[in-house]
Amino acid sequence: MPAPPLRAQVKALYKDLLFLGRDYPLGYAYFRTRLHRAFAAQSHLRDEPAIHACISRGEFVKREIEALYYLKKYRALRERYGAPASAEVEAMRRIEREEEEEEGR
Amino acid sequence: MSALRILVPIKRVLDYAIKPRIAASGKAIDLTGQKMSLNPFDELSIEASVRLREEHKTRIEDILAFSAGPQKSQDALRTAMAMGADRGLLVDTATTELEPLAVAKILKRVVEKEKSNLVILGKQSIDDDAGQTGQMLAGLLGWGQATQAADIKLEGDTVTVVKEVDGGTETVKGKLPMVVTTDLRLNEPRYASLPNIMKAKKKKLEQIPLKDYGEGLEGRLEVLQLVEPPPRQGGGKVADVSGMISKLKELGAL
Repeated sequence: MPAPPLRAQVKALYKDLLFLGRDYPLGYAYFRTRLHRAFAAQSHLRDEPAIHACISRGEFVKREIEALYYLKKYRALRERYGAPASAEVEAMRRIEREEEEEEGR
Repeated sequence: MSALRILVPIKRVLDYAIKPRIAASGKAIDLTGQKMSLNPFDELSIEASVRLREEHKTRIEDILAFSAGPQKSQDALRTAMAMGADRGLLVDTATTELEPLAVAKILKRVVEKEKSNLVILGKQSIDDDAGQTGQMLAGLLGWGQATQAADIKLEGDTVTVVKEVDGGTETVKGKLPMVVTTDLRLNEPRYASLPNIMKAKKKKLEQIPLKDYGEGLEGRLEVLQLVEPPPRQGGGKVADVSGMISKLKELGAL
């Protein structure tokens, strides 16, 4: 029997997510069981577009988790080392950045 | 316009999320079985050099990740290579703890050997918090330096760096070669994903024993004592205004 379509992609996504889970704040066990459940819940899918939709959702979750890790680290370091820039300076910088991005477009 | 050979020195440290425990000797941090990772400030410097490559493409000839530490520092170098460094160089110190000056001396020799002309390193490591290596290296090499970078721009052979200073920023300009140390707001380091780590295993990682770097690397400082910060005293509740006043008087505030 040939392997179901997109199997390789789905497996790669699962592995990537598992790897990310090793740093998960609530622990790997917590992450792994939930991740497994989420994948198992969609295991009945045979329809290609539906699987693609699920893969892109998985990629989205991946980006979200990476962003979560970054923010967590950034905040921890800012708290420890930072001359924490006042809310005002932060806001000013954000506005400047946004303006620059606008110009960039 | 000269081609750029970037050197990114990194360090493997106790993970930022883990609370350090003082070893029984009272003079060191107990690292046995603890999670170790790449120093967060060094992630910023790798990201900075990778972004320079993305911006200047072929002008960046080489990005070399360097670490001086125990064998396991390989992991940190692999992470660096997964993020985009081309090669790794590990100076195996076995059990010796190097002081910033010794690291700077080693780096000077690496810079000379590898003909690096831009060194980007984290402003400090989160374990010793010395924050000296970059400055000492610039001194030893006689290069210009820009510390606590919040922005790095490269135009021709000129590097413009926005520095974090008290209550604002300071913009400095310098010619290559140069030493830059990175601060927290410089960029958002990418995550070293599994496929990239697998690819990084194919990149070259050279190992050199510490003794090849000669004399004058021994420590000059001795740690006498490590002490945890005192635990926070809990607050107390008062029943009413007169209770508060008597409490304040008791504390000598009134």
